Amino acid sequence: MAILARPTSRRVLAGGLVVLASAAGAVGLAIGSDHQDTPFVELNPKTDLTDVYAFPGTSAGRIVLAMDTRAFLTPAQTGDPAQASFDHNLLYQFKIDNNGDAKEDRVIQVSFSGEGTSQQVQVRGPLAPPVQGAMENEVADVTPAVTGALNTNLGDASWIQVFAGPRDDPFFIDLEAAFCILPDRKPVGGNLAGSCALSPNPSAPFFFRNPGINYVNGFNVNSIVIELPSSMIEASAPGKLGIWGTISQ
Amino acid sequence: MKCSMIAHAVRCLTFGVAGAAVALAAGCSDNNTGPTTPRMFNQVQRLGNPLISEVLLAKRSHPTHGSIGPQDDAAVLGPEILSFITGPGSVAGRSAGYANTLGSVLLPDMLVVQSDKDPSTAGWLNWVGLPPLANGWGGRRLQDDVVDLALLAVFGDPFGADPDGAAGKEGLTTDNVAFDSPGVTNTFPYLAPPN
Repeated sequence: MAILARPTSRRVLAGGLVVLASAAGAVGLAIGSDHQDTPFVELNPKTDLTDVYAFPGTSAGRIVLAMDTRAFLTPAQTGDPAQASFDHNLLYQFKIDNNGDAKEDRVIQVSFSGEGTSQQVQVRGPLAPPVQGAMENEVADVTPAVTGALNTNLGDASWIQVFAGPRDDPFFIDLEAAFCILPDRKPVGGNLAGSCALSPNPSAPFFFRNPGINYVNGFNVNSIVIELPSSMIEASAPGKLGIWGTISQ
Repeated sequence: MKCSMIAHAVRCLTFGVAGAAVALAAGCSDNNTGPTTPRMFNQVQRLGNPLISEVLLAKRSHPTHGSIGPQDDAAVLGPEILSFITGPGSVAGRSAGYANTLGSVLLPDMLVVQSDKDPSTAGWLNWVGLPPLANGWGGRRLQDDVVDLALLAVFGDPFGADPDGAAGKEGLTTDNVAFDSPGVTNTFPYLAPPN
């Protein structure tokens, strides 16, 4: 676990954040998840990585890794194979640090070929990364461990299982209220891009409304779910793992 | 035909000039080649913990977060994250000590799993060894209320370490929204069918 260096006043001031100050003190809001977080992914929605999950599998010693992409896929868009599929020009990866240096020691590389209903997923790994780091990554020159169609449970329940396709977005947040509090995080376009339509509650500064409204409710995402023995991503024994997801183009 | 990388385009052109029609179709189509076509990929999105980029970083910094790896987080993003949590003019207005504790939990930005711990202790930030959080399996479950946990961490006082910094921010420690994906299952692929 790396510890942040103690802040100096210069470093603390260097961030230049939007500050929401009030007579009662500075307040702001945290927005979980990562939906539509840059103009680039708004314009290229299949590059939008919204959430990453890691949780125990159905039997001892198994782990589930999931990443959700393509924020706010509507039910109508989900019926369109062009939307409810992945970008074959992108490389989707789970990266795992298993020795505590915050660099990936194992990667699971997920890629796609074809379009729409005929699209196929290929999963390579877990394996040592052909190139370590964020840039100039390559797809490993190995036979995929699992390959097959979207919307299908692929693989073997005692080894690697893979699913890729649209799912209900499990994430939940009152995003409208969130953007009223931290307006600089708003998307550039769409329903949430305008000014805050809510009244301050109970008074300025804006606190969350109660009950809140789950903005994500009813939307889907394009999910990649992989379950495998955790030993395949551990070093020599069970222990501490650092896991993150990436999308590269 | 589209070729997204310059080198790839050059190769397409070479093949084309050589009249290698078969190779052209197999190697340079933008439609069916998939990853077996040799090329290079640069990261544009990254996500470990669910709150880092959208919570603690100004939007202008999100592309930076998306283009680096966790090993660079403390050096590149640490100052901005700390300035959100503590210091003159900070959004959260917490003590410096509290900010450092929070920073050490959230950076490097990775979902931490302790696979040698009891899987029943799985849950976001449950790997942290500070009370009231357990030294557990960690990770992130589908139903974890990461927004409320994040709000509590930034504006509340879960460690009992900074009550003064949390005072007056009670209205920011929950968004009053609960998990609502009833189709989630306990078997693969876990996530609920689409709407």
